[in-house]
Amino acid sequence: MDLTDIKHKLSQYLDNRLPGPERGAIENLIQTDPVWKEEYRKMLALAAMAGRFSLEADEKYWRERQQAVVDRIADDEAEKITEVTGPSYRGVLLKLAAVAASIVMVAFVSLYESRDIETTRGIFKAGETETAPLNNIALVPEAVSSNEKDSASLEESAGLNNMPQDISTATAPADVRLAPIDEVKDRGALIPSELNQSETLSDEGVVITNREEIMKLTKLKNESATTKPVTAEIAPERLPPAEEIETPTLQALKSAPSKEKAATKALAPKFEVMAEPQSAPAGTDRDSYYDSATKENTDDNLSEYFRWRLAADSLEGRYFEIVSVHYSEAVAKSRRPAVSSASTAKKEAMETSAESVEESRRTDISADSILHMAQVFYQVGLLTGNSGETSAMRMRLERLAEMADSASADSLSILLQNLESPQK
Amino acid sequence: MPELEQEKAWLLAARNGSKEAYGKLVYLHQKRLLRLVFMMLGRRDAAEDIIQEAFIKGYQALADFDLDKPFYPWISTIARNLALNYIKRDLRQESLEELEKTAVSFAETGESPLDDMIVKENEKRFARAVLALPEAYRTVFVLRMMENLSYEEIAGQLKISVGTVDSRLYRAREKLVEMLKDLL
Repeated sequence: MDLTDIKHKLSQYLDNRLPGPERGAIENLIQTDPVWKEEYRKMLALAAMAGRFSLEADEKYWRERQQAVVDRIADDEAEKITEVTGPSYRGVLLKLAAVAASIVMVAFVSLYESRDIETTRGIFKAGETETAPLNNIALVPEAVSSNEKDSASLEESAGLNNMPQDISTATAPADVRLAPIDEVKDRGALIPSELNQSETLSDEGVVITNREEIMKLTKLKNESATTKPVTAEIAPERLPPAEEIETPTLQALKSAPSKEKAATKALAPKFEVMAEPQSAPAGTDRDSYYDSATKENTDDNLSEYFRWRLAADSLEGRYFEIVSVHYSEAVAKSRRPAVSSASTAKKEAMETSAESVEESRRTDISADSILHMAQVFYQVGLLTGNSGETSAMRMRLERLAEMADSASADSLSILLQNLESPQK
Repeated sequence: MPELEQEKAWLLAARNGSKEAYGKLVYLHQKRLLRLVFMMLGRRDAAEDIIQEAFIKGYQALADFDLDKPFYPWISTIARNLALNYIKRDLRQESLEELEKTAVSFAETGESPLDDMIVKENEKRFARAVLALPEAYRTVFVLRMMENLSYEEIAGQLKISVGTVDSRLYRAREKLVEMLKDLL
């Protein structure tokens, strides 16, 4: 056994790791050999030194280390609490987000619907309706517009739009010229100015230059026109009985001893409705004012308006017949050349006789009919609230006034004045 | 109250959530644990961090601790495992050459990271000598001579054979005796 083996055995002996026989041999060697006894003593001293070894520090250092551990534990517990409560918060947040999304969706739908309502309210608050609460229903302007368009087209087709107020000074419009009088037989047929006098247009728009063809076509057109408004006989059966739409206002007009009295008595009730100030009174909210005004006036006045409008529609055909006859005669008279020669005197007398017969037949327009018609148009113009329709009704009243006798014309002038009043 | 009874009372309180009671246990055992871990690692900052981490893990695992047994062996096992993991993870990344230079430096200059915590000069020299040992020898020596672990426990802890423990322990003693022969 060499020295290394002996040192290894001493290390094992120190840790009590040697079996019995070797342990006895090492104990014997330590006791008998001073060198191995010293080696064993050093190992014991090293073990004792290791056992005694310790670290020294201030109390503060150890307290800080202790507190650091406690703080770390507290922090970790706080993080764990956060981790535990985190998922539940997420759940709550998800629920809140879902609720918020629902609220936003409901709000969006509500806002969208309210915008639709505001759009409808916009009709009520449009500038035109500010002066005419009765026109707050969208259907009314459209209906009126349609009727106006129909009326305008009818008037235009009858050649009335370009007619001057003074019939005696009437001339043909600038963009048309009259066809040769011998070809159209004084029927007022018009040929576009772009065509030569020897040309005309067929219904298909083909330019016809053959004189015989032109004569044939002109004759056909005039015959067709003869059956239409210009020379049509007034059909009384087409008119509704006057009693059906007879109103106290009309009765008052008919029996009025003077025009002021008639205007006062007959028209006052209606003007009590429409003569209300159309702008909101000072100190009141404009929207609420119009809302309330609309609410108060709509039901009664609207039904009143439609009742009068229905009557006006039924009278419209007759009105145009009357106006057409009236203006066609005026046009014919204005275009008729002055008769100076004696040779034409006989012819003129014959024509005058024939015209008188015809006039007596077709201008059977009584003052009552004109007044009745004027009253209906007046009421429509008064109640519509649509400035365009009011203007159209006023125009009709003006034309009826031109055709009426002096007594009726006075009443019509009062109606015209009253119809203009609200807009002023 | 005997020390073990007092420790048991603190452990019971700590298990019930008393951080103050657990703080007392920390204060009681931290010095010994720091000595162990520092002598294993040779680095003061790392030793302090590992000791703190060991106490925190011990607190979190108090429910599994048998209150009838002493606390130090249990908490030191946690600290040793952390220290050994640190050695495997970090210290082994350094070259053996660097470790040897560090050991020589400790031995020659007479300075170590724990010099300010060692009052007696012979203990400072002892610390320097131990820190100058190769890591494999040092760990076995510390576990055997400072923690009083058996060969089997050391072998199990380091996952080496009992013969290797015996051999490494013999070589560590041999070197230390040589380095500290004027003190012994």
